[in-house]
Amino acid sequence: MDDLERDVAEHLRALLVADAPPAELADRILTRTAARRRRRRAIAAVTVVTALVVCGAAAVGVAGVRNGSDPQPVAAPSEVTIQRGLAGGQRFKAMALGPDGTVLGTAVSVGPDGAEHLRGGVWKASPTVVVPRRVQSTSAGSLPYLWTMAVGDRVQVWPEGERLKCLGPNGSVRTIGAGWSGRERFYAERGLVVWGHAGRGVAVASGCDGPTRTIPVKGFLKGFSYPLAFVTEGAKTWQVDVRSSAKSAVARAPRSPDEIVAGPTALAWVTGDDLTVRDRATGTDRTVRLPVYQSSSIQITLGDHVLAYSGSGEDGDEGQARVYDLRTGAYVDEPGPALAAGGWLAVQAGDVYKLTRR
Amino acid sequence: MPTPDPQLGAFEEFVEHRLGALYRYAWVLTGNRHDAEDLVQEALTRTGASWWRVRRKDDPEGYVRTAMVRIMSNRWRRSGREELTPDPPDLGAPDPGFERVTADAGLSATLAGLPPRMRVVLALRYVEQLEDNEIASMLGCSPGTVRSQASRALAKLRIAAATAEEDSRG
Repeated sequence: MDDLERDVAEHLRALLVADAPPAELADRILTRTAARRRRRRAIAAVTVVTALVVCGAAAVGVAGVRNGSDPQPVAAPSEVTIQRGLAGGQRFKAMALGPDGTVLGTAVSVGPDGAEHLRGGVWKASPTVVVPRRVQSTSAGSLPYLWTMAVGDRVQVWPEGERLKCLGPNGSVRTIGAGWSGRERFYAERGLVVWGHAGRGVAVASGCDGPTRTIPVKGFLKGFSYPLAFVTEGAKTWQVDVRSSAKSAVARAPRSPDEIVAGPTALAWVTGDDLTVRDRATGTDRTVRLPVYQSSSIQITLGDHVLAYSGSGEDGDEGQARVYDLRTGAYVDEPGPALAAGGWLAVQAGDVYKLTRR
Repeated sequence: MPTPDPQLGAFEEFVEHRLGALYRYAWVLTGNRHDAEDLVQEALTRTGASWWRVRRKDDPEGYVRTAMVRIMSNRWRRSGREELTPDPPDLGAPDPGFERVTADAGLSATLAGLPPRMRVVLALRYVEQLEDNEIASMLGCSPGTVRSQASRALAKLRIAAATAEEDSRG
């Protein structure tokens, strides 16, 4: 080995003691591994069932020739039932759905008249944990702030007073949310936690343990889909890249929309009774008339291919939802509140949540 | 009703303990942080999906490192041709790993600008210290191709080193 080769070896080996991997990389790997395993199991199950059907058909086929019957295709398993029943007669109320199917929520009690009362605590379920588990207690004083939660890439966020609590992959809970007033939106995605910093802009934290920086921008944070935060300022809607802080106006955005929700494939606005969905790839808009719900709280969530427009009942426990298929424009009315994220849709159906791949 | 996957727990532990080293190895192979992230993520995802088989092997980490090399090799084949840098750039893309260790910008820049296959051959030869026939087996090519890639890479580096020396003499 000559001097040059020794230099090359030294240069390359120096990288073996260089930077640590990004904080969220491990979580992404584990999430994708679990998803790939589920797909393989589903394919294996279909293969087995199909083989049985084919074998059955072969056996029947001889008879089938006589009676004309054909084997029916079998759909891959794609639905999980999450139990709502908790100890002490309480029920699990979903507040957020993550792109990996994690369902985060709290406990409520439902009176004989159907009225719902918050009992607190942070509970979690998932496609592989169908009985919700409590991951954290919450103080009684925080209940009025417990109106929503956020789940993303093994980071779970919920409000506690005027701060945010963040549960990371290492199992420890940190307090974040400096500058959060208790009323602005917050989001968790790709290991980042993003929230509106009142009067200053958009705060971005690198996970529960990482540094926080605030991107100065006027207005209110209304939506987030990595890497873009959507901020309304008066009649304008801005998109802010949280990586570079670059800001640009969203073209042809409705003036002063009531709601904005952003997903990986679509951006949606609610203005009055109209829902406009923009295909982010093509820029084409589609507007539909929303149903009218007698509801005290409306929630809109976007997955990869579906949008859920959901209203809780006046007393809380019941409700309804309209789920739009973004690919076809068709919709289905569901008899309970619904949440969409990633490739999942969670719909409340009495004492369970139906968690389905969409 | 689906049951939790106990094997993912053991794989999770493997990722927790070895991700750092595997990520840095991916950086050696690819030369930049973003490609390293993609590469180690893909290799570990594939490994995790087959963990029940991989964990019986003596060296799961070696399995992942080999997987990374093979993923890169398959990408070259699919792309059909490499994006060759005709001349080494005077200043390579910022790479804190190199810059922290050495002030030799000429060699650093040239290494950073090498086509992926040449870089991988150098990494396997000088970091993994594999023989050319072992490298060939890993990459699915002939030992002659390995020697040719290494020779061309070192030739580029010698030119860059000579140019840098001439420039420093003014």
